[in-house]
Amino acid sequence: MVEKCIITFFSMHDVFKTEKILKERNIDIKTIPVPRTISADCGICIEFDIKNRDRVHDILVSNKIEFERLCPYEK
Amino acid sequence: MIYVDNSATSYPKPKSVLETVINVISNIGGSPGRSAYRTAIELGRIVFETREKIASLFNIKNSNRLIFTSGTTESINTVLFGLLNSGDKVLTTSMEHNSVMRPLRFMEKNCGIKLDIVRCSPEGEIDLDLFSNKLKNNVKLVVINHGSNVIGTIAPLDEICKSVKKYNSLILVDAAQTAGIYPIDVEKIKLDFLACSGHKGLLGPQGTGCLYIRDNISIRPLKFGGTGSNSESDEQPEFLPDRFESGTLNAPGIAGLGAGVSFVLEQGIEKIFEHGTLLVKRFLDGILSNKKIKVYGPKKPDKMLPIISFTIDGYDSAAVAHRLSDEFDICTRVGLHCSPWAHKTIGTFPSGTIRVSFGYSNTTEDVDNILKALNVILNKNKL
Repeated sequence: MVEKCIITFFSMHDVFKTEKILKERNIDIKTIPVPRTISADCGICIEFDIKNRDRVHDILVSNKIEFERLCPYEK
Repeated sequence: MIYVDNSATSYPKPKSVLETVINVISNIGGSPGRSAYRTAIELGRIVFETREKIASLFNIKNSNRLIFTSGTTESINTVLFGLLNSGDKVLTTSMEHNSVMRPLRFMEKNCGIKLDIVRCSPEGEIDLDLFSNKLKNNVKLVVINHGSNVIGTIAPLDEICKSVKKYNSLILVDAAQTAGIYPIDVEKIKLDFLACSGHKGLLGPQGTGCLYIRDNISIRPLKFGGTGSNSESDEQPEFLPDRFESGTLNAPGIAGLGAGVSFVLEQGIEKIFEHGTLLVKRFLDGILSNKKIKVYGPKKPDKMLPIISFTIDGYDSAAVAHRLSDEFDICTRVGLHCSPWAHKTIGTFPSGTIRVSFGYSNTTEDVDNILKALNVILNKNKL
């Protein structure tokens, strides 16, 4: 099992905004459909390595990005 | 063809706009903001990037406050019907386009709003002292035409916004004619609402437009429906941009608009405006010397948009415009330009004027050819 984190959002706008900001900071991410085991308001989410969890969380907060959840996810 | 109807819609568009629209329709199908497969995500990303580009053009800090609409008209209607309630006072000017006047008249008759129209000079200028005075009457919303589509007058937004803020009113700016052509900084002048077209100065396809709504301002949406978000709920979301973007977006159009805005950002607003000034000056120098031609508006090339309205003594405007089109393939617009109030202000109601509106693609050669064509028409027998 690979340990990842995913961020789910209310709006697709916030997905792409977050994608842009995280890519600018060289964090390895993937934009993927929300796994069926997790429900979310918006159908796509951002997946990244769990080792970056705290850093990503800080970036989201400092950029005032609205997100639904940031949670670990086992692939 | 010499196309000088850019106030109606810009033509031609930059090649990148065509290529982007064709690429999206041919190669990137799907529904942006709705689905999770590769092309839908790609399209969603393109829509987002266009939002960011327009936000940077107008100095909008948070691009989620920039809503896509079908054009300035929808943007204006969204604000008027979304903000105003019975008893609210609206202050506007006698230069407004029907996209402002018609909904306001309807709301005056049917929704209990009170409308106050400040008369402008025949050059389209607002008496700022009179305007300030009227703001003392507890005005909910000011609606201002930033640039006249009939005579090119540019409203002094800096001063107007200062007065509006002093009296705690809100301001909606109709930037249909100025977006992409004249600088607009929503932060600097503290605009509350900005409405504009995507298909004029921003060089995008028809069917696109924008509405900016300042942070912390909440209005009712004009349309309710599916937004691809919060889908378990049957209530419209509160968050932007989704709240105001029900239904499928015009993604190919918005992608094309993104390419148009990139072009504007690359060229720079100053360079675009200076080009317009050059053409207007050359045209005015040519027609002002002809005593039969009456030119309306400010006649100050560096302080106006590249839009000239004129009439010709003893000639029917429609017939002249028809000859310009038929014999010389010059595309002008004749009539009231959907602005009966502006024509009443400048004294050309109800017959209207011939309007020449230059775009970034027009050249000094175009100006000279229009002047030559007018000379030919005027030297023959009157129609």
